[in-house]
Amino acid sequence: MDVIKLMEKAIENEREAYNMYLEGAGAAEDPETRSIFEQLAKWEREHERILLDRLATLKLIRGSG
Amino acid sequence: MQRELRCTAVHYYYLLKEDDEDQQKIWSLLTSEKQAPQEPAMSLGLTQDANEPASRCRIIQRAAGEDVDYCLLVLPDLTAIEAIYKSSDAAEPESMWRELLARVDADRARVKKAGATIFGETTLLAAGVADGSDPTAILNSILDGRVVTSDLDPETFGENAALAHMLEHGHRGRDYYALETDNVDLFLSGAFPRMDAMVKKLGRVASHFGHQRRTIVEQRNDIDRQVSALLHQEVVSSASEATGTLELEQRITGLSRMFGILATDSLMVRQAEDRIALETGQLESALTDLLGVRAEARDEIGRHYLDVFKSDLEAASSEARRLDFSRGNAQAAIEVVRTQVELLRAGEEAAIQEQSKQLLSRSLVLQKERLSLQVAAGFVEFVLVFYYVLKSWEGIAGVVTVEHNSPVLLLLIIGGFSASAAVGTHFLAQALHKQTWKNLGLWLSVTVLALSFSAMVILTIVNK
Repeated sequence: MDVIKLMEKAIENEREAYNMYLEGAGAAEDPETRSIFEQLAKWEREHERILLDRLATLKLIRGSG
Repeated sequence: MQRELRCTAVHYYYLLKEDDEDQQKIWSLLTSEKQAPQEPAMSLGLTQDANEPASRCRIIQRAAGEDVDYCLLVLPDLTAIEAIYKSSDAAEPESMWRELLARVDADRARVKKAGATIFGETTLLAAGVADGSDPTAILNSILDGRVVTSDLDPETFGENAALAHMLEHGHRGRDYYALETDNVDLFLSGAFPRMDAMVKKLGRVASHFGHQRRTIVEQRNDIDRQVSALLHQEVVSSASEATGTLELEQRITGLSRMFGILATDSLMVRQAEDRIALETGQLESALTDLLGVRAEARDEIGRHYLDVFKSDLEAASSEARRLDFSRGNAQAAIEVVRTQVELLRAGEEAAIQEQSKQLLSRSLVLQKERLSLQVAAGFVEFVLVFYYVLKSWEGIAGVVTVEHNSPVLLLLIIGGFSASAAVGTHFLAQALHKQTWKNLGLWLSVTVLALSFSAMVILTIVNK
């Protein structure tokens, strides 16, 4: 599998995870659970950002070879 | 076209060339409400050589409003959307700068909300040299960081033109510059984004290779540990004495795999090294274009970036050397284990030869014993056949008829029969074993057997 497609898939997964944790935070019945879900969502957002950065760099490196 | 030079804030959104959709999204978002499209036919760049189009910065789209202009720029590897915010002359300098930055941030917030992927951003505060509005001071007052300054080429940008850059300000992905020049047009939509895009690109490329190098370093350390442990085990420790050839061959396979990984890693690091060296060279040339080559001029920005990227380059070179060293170690370990395998094989061969020699001598003894047994069995067979042939002949022809013959003739005939029967059995077994009837001994035995039997029949008839 091409690394760019793999990274795009990984970014998609991070987004799904982010949405899932966000939904979890919305549905949480106590503040502690909500806080954990929000923290997890934040981590997924950060992972997505890192992957987006790396993907852009990879595209740039391949594009300007 | 001459722009309003007094207190201008410029924000650059850099995007990958292939991200057309994001580029259009941001462009439409920024220009939709208040700007009218303008003629795009304009090309700016410090290198005016037509044979070197890759170094140029081209404006392909423009939109202008009352207090803000937008340009869509095409750079060698990226595209940039340049938003130029102009100040109102009436305001006091510091509040004017703050108002400009607030407008930049308001647009940035809208762009961020649109969810476009932006490669990098830069905000530049520009003012005329004689304005006295000191954009560097405002950067210092709003950001916590270290400022580095470079004097710009006076031939291109006018006397006392300078560019200041805020380092380590903690705003990830966004750079801040302050500019004082009387030739802002050439700088903004040409030389600056070209240099800035190069710095951003090189920064990302170096960071990417840095991450890659960290993984390679971990891998190399792990391999070094394994190779060192193995060499210790093979050379120093006596623990390998009991190791068999098969296990040693498995070790060679493992070491060959490590050697392959190190060779691939070395290739990747060298490619990264070449890439960083090439792009650092290009950046150096772009900086020279921008700053000029004057011995007395300050060039803290160029020195800072070249130091950073040359340090990346040095790290890559040093890692490439370490990888070569580790590869040499893996190669040496393979040789050590291979020598051990050869020694072990030579030992095994000597042992096999010794065993073969023993087997051969045992087989020789057995062969001798078998020959004795064969002779003894042949003799017993001869005696038995002799006895039973004589008795059978006497039984059939009568004792008188048989005894009528001379004892020598009887001995010759029955002896010949018995001997050919005993020897013929051996030859018959041989023929059956070899699956061929081409056996002279067999046919001679059969002939003697037939002649002896015929003689017995003839003598019986004659004596009767």
